[in-house]
Amino acid sequence: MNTSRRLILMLGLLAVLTGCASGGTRVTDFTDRSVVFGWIDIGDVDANRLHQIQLYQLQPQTETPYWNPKFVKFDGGYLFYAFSFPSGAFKLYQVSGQQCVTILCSNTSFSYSFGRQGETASVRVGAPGVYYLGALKLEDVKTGFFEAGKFNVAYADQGPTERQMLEAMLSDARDVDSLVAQRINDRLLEL
Amino acid sequence: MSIRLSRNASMIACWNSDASPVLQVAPLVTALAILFFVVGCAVPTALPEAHGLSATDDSIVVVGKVVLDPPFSSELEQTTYWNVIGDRSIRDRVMIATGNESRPIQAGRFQGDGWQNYIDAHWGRYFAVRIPRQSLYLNGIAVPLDVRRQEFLWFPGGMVVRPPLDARSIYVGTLRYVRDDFNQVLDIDVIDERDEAHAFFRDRFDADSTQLADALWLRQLPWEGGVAP
Repeated sequence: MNTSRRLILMLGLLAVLTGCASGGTRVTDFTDRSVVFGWIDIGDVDANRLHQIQLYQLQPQTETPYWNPKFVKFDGGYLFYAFSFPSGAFKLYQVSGQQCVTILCSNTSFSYSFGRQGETASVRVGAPGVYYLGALKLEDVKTGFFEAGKFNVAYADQGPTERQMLEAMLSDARDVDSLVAQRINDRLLEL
Repeated sequence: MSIRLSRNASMIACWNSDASPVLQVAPLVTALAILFFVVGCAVPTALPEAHGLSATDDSIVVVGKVVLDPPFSSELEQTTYWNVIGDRSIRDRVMIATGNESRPIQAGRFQGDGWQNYIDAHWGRYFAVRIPRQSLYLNGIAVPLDVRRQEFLWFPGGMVVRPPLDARSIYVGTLRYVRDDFNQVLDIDVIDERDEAHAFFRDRFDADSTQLADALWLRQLPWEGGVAP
């Protein structure tokens, strides 16, 4: 008995300490939600394996402005998407990653922040539907010897098409909700 | 700056010339290293706050206000952290870069001496600062959002105030910055709220607000939007 109690207590503590007690709200009704997606090439900067992509909700202002879309390796870069965006103005806020060689990764985390100003890598979500943020590229900017490293985010000249990205997301969308899949299909028909 | 350089120069001149060549070079290297740091560390400095509307022959008091449309929400747009000064010190704060010539700020960094005489203001509150009696160029605005992440909004300036010769204090109006959803400035207006300003400074300084010059001359320079890259 004592052992069981101790085990439950330990598991409870472990869950709290590892952050399992918190989390976002799970969206189950996608009627008033939208799909937001994009693609980013990080080949020019130090990080070559992403572990986070974050979007910031600028409008309407909220106490929980950070959105963390799913991302997968795709066509030499990373495809990122989420199916549950509300109406508003969003901007790519931060990309973080590591430098890895096969399975070996450095313990340095590289973060590339884009701030909350400007229309590059941003999207206005209106009526529920599918919204494309763009195919982007992180560029290394040459600086002086004593200057800190800089980077820039710009629209990529090369990359997958919007159609290729939507097709890659489709099976995931079918697993989540038929309405989301329908919206993606509708968009594919438009392209 | 010049004092530091002359000290370094005298230090080099007084070095014992009988020392080894390596030791003779060491002070020079040290002096150059110090020079690099001094040149690269121009810390932003705020203009002194005025505690009245009267000024001296070589200075003048500038009063005004800056507002953002749609309004700035400190609660939702700024992130603060505990520190010994107080984590709320950045709340609603606006840094207005000024100078005696037009030098548009560069977004993304507090470059060189462009921030040596900034107006430490707050959104929607009157500021009163003392400046040398000369033209005052408003070269841009920085709005701290998150100090730990060094995150700011950068807005353009492009205005100049020329004080009348006989004025002791001048009112520059309410500068209204209009922004879009992505914090890009769409327009800058100068609103004349002189009556309100007179009443505010009469109450605040218990002073004769007629000292506040009506002869306002504020000219908006050609502005094509955005901040200098």
